[in-house]
Amino acid sequence: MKTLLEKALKVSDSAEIYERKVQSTSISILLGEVQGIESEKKTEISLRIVKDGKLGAAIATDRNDDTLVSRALISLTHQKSEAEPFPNTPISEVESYSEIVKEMTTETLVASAFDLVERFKTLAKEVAFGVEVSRTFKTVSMVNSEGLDASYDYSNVEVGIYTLNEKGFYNASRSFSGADFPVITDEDLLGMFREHQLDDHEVTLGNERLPVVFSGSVMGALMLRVVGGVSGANVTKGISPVTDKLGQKVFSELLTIRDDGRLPLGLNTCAFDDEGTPAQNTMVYENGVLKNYLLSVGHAKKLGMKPTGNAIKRALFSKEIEDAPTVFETNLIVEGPMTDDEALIRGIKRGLYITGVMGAHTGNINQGEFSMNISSGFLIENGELVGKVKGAMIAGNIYELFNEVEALGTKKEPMRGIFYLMGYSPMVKFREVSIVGK
Amino acid sequence: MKKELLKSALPADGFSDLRYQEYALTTIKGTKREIDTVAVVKKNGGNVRVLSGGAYGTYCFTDVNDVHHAVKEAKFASDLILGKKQYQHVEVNSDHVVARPKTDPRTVSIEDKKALVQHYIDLFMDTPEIANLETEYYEQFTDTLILNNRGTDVRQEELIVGINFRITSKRGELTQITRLSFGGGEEYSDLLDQDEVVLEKARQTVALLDAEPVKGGNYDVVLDSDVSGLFIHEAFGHLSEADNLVGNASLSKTMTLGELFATEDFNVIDDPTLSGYPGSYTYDHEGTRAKKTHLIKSGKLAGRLHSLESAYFLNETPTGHARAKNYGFTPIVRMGNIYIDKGRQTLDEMIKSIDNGLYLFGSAGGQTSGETFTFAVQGAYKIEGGELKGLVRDLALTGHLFTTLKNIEMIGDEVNFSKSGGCGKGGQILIKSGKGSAPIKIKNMGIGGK
Repeated sequence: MKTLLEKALKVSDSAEIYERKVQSTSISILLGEVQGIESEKKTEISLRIVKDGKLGAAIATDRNDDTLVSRALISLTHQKSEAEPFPNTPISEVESYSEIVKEMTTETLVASAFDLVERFKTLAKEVAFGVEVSRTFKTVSMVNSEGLDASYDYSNVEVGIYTLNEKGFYNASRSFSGADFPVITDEDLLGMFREHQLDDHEVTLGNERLPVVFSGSVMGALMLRVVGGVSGANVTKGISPVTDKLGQKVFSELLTIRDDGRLPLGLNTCAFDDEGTPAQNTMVYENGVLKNYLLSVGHAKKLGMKPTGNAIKRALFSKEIEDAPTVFETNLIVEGPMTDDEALIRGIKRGLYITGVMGAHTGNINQGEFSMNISSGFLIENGELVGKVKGAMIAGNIYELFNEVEALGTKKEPMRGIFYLMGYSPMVKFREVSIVGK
Repeated sequence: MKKELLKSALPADGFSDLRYQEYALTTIKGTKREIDTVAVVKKNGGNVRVLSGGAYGTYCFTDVNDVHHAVKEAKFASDLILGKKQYQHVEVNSDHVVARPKTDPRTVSIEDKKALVQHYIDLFMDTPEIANLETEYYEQFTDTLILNNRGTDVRQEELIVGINFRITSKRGELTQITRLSFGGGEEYSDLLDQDEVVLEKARQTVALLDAEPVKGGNYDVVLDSDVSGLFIHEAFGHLSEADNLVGNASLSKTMTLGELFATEDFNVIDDPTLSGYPGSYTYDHEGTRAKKTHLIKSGKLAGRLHSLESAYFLNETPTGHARAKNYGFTPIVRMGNIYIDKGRQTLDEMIKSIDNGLYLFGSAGGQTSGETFTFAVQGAYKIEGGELKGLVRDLALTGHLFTTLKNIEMIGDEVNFSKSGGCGKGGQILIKSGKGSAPIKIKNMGIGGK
């Protein structure tokens, strides 16, 4: 990497090399049969250079690609950018990988997947279901001309389990994720099985306003909008609804939201972000009060604040090496005063418990708006789940909805933000939400 | 490309194939008035699959010298899977497909491309009340070698160029978002001389600020070609991807060929062999020649989209629809250019047939979970007494596939294709997936507002 850095410095004032080596394996099992095993071993390199205050970038899959530097120069010449100095802040270690997962072989992964298959089969007998397990081990290294020379290892295991209904369509599902092999309890599996069984108890709703509980997983669809609001990119462009609202109460005082890149063995834990800023534990909303934005080096400079370690090479639908570092969450944590999950549901006379939505990527995300199909939702009557809601939609704006928080559950689930998991949340109960039914 | 090295790595027994791809992507991205990213991405890699056991073992690599290791690992994984699956017949092809556009974007300088993009940006941003604009020029070129141990040796260039705009208008706290795309084929000339289209879109985006919010409920609706294309993509297209049926006997039964799905005027086709659309190509990423495929014929389920594996599982013929986002991913069944074929009614006749309904325009993204689907649209005109009236905004639709297909009452007499592709499945966003349609009328469609 140092040789490439020297080569780049011949044509630039400062330079940075980012390299990631990824090895991953995933296995999918449907109705007890393995559908395939996929693996990868990839090395990808990104170069960023600064010359005369302008920034350019290029990527390659081969360190010896002799067009890398010239392509970075093309980008530097043509794009309008105000380059900031590359950071060299001391990096401290974080617990971002598990030795067991690092050493995990394909056979062990297959065996673990079949363990889960057997456990669910014992609980759910005749139910048709599938299991997907993927394991990733990654080493990220960065050097820059300011003296940064750091690397970290990352591991992740993601487990998905889903059932099929009688027609063969997806029914109930659960996801689990962490740097270590996630712990999946019988209670988790039984909860999913109960949801599966409600598929043939169909209920329809009219156009009404109801108390609604979002599962931890579905909170991801709403948190995409929270991240859009506090993203330094949107704040500096003046298109965030919370521009100039630091220190103000924006959400219910029951709601606290952190972004913790240092969470031990979290699903997105890292030692530093993809600009080389050390990972941090950033309080975003504390008891509903906006405390911080999520900032890259450039956004922090513009706002006179400190970068938060959230500049990540990804986009809404991709995690490719060529995605420029952009503000995204690391491990977003939703927390507040906890209520027992069962007690929370039991306390609802008539309401809705939502465990799956579609259309989270549509609408004006940055403004907090949402209009989603309830793909998995259950009517609660007198504290019991009595049937599965079909053909209903839920719509609103998080800046209104998040002032309607009545309670948070206890058990945290990985939040799903469309393709990727974005952190952990318990179930959250909202006072009233508009439902469009039949 | 080190073709001989790659070829030598393929094992003789069982079935195995290998893709090696050189990938190049030029992007020019802007926010508001400024172009803030110009990137020329180049990356290479391969993906090998071995079927020696009960299912595929696959392995992706970026260093071509890892190919023997990749084959060994893929075989090891396949052998771990119980059973022995073998393809009796695999279509063997040998060809070299070269992209030969009349106006090749690769020969246009970055300065000229930037000037073109900046020109459109200025047209939008000079319009009062246009508050934000996200612009992306993209030019993706791939040179892919597809080999298998049955003798396929296909090298295929694929090129797609276009510009996508996401336009936001704002008045006080109210914002409206629309989208506009140019190109989607190989020709740079398709991006030129679009000033009128840009100005019309800018006007529409601002006009939506005066629109009424839609009242959630059930409406009779007419969908323009773009929205109809999104509807058929989400509501039915994904279900016609036969990899969903592999290992899933219940779904295979639900999707029995010959089942009546819609009115007898209703025909759905997927055709990658059409030229000039986002989902146009000659060979899929398994080296099978793409085939025009009737999915619904006269209202009955007539076919489906296949990979080698799904065709084997259902004992049908591969249609050439197995494709991957890039070398980093294994091919899965994807739509090429899916469309609802033309019917007999004019758009005017459809609108006249509705007393109280909506004419929906402009797709804005959707999703499906199999039986149910949802999608958002950019806006709509009210239809009152058979006439178009004022604009309404903030619309999202949802429905149950089988009910909605049966509720399609009229089909327009002209097919148009969208100028941008794009579809997400299994963690892969594929820009080379196109959609089109004749306008259609659907009765009793669930519409959600904010």
